[in-house]
Order: sequence, then C-alpha cells, then structure tokens
Amino acid sequence: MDNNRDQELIDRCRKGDRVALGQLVNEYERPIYNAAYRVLGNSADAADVTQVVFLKVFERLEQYNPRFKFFSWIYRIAINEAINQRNRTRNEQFFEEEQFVSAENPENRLNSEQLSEVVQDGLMELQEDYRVVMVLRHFSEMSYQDISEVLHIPEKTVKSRLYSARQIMKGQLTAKGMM
Amino acid sequence: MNTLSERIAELVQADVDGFIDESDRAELDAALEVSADARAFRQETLQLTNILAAVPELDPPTGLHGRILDSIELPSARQLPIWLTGLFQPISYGMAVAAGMVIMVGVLNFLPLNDDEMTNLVGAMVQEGDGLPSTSQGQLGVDLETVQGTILLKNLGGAMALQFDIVSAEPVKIGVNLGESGLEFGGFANDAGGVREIEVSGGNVQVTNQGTHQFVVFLRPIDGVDTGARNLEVSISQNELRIFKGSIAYGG
Repeated sequence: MDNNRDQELIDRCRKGDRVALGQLVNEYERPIYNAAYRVLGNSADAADVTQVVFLKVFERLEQYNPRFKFFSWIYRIAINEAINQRNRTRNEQFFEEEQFVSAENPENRLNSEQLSEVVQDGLMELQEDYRVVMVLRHFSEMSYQDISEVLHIPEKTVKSRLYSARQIMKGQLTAKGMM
Repeated sequence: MNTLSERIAELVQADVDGFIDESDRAELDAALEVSADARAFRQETLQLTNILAAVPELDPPTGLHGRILDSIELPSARQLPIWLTGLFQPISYGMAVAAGMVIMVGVLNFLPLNDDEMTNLVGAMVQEGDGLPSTSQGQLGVDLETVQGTILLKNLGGAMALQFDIVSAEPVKIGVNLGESGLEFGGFANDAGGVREIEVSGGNVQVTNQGTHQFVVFLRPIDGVDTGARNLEVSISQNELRIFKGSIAYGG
C-alpha cells in the first residue's frame, strides 16, 4: 500500500475523477472484503460491509487527514463497520449454510476451501478484540504498529491480544487434529 | 503468558512475525538454547502461522466492484467543455476519411479532420454550448471488471451523437462500427481527458483511450441512404482482445 499513490488518487477523486475512484476501489476492495469476511464469517455481510466502507470513505473524504496513512484510515472504518454489522446480526444465524469439515475425519486431507472454513470456525470462536487482531496480523498482514494505528491501541496491547488469540487458536486447531 | 516469561514470549512472537530487532536476537537465541518451553512455544507459533498463511484469499462476490462504484458520488466532474449546438450543420468530408487516417489528439479538446474540414467543424460546434439533449434514444451499459460506464445515443435533429462516459484504469480501444448504420463520422469532441488517438477508417471509428473517458462521437446521415431501423455496434478491446460488444437500435 503506497501512501503517496493513495494520496494522489484521493486528490483526483476530490476533483471528481472516477478513474481514480476505480483505481482506489481496485486496490482496496479485495483486502477490505477479506478482512471483513474474516471478522464476520459471512460472505454477504462482508460484501455489504465492503460497500459501506467505500461509501463512508468517500462521504468523509474531506475529513481525511493526509498526515496519516490512508490504509490505516480505511481499515479502521472497515473494522468498525464489521463490528457494527456483527452486533446487528449477533442474534441471527451467523454462518452461511456450510458444513464445516473436521480434520478429525479419517479422510482428512484438507483442501484449501476446507482449511479456510476450519480456520474461520476457529476465528469465530475468539472474542471479538482477539479476532480483529488476528485478522489484521494474519490476513491483512499488518505490522504491530499498523494494527496499533488502525485500532488506536498501544502496540503492547496488540502483542498481548495476539498472544492470547494465538494460544486459543492453537488449542482449537490441536483439538481438530491440525496441530 | 504462562510458563514462559512475558519477555521471551514477546521475543518469540516478534521472531515468528519477522519483526525482531537484531539487538534482541541474541537474547532469544540464548533462551531457546536453554528452555524447552521456549522452543515448543516457538514451534507451535510457527506451525499456527503456517496454517493461517495457507488459508487462501477470497474473491469478492461478482458484481461487488460495480455496486461500489455505482453507490459513490464524487464531487461534480467537469462537464464536457465542448458541445454541439442544437443544429448540426452539414459537413463535407475529404477523401482522407474514406482512405483512413489516424489523428493524434494530444491536448486538443476539439478534433478537426484537416485544415479545410476544421472550418466546417468549427462551424458545427461551439464551445461552452447549451449541451446535448438530456434524453437519449438508446443506451449501453458497460459493467466489466476493468471497464464501467455508459454510452448514450442522442438525436440532434437528423444527426446523432454517441456520448461516452467510460471509466477504465487500463488503456482500451473503443470502436464504433458504422458499416450498416446509414451514418458516417461527423466529428469528435473530447473532454480534456485520456483520449490519445482516434482512427477513422472504412466505416469504423476507433478511439484509443486511457484515463478519463468522456467524449462524444458525432455521426451524420449519409445522403441518399434510407435511415430505417438500424443498429450501431460498439465494441471495447483491451490488449487486442475484445472484452465488450453491444448495439444500440435507432431509427425506424
């Protein structure tokens, strides 16, 4: 994520340049969708959140302070929006109609889709603040400092949550025979 | 951080994540040397990290890209600065058009065919005019992964205007096939955008474009040709591959 390039695209968007808009969406649609999916565990909700994130970004474009990284700003909006969406649907059926595959099955060589589901299952069992840190570190590949900026928490808290989340995930994956 | 000291657990995490400072490396190595717990913790954390890294990235649902773009309104883009007046004057064309020609647009907002024809075209178009009609006779929507936008066909009282508003990050060639349309190329108006080249040849108009894609291709009826129900074919190519083809019905 090149902040100078992002800034140039944002400046062009502010002038009404839809090509620049298309380029920004191209750059961030996929990572934001993936982060939202890993927080929510639901494809339709993740798509809705991704759309709302871009809508809010461009509604608030005048509020964006170029001294800060654009990607930190858009991820912050994405995580907040995903958590809000999660709260709205907390009492509804949360997973898509999918059968999660246990690796304990004798024929247990997981394909990538099954692996994705098992890991998602584990993520959804984490408490939300742990899950978000795991998603940003492992799926958005952010540094501790980036996660700290996105979540507005100290780096020490990032490390502590990551440690706890990983310990829980290790336990889950061990129970499923994956570790 | 239970059986391990918080410090060693932090160093192991930093190592596995690739963020350990070289100054801390010796301390971690010493701990790994003497502590089976530290080694086990590192091994488990590496294993977990490898499992998570093997999880494939997901493709966003088809159509999400278009939904996002459709939902966002940017500050008003500039209107096309050059418009046709309500009356489209007859234009005479030189043999150059029939023979085929390529014209570099560069920074020109207005494209003449040659010096002689420019006189006629200037007479036909005005800068900062009242704009094209708001209603269109037909339209095409383009909603591809790499190209989105609309193409409107507008009646100018005999002559026609194809108004393009296309968004594409990559270079594309936009072609209008006039073969059976009963129309011929009449002029071109370009917003100060990405149009780099226009080629008029053998009943086809092809615009090479990158960046901003707002332009108008003006078409005039060919004298003596019946203008019944017809179709105008529009295609878009990228890297020499046609990625879009559509037609707009008109007349009749």
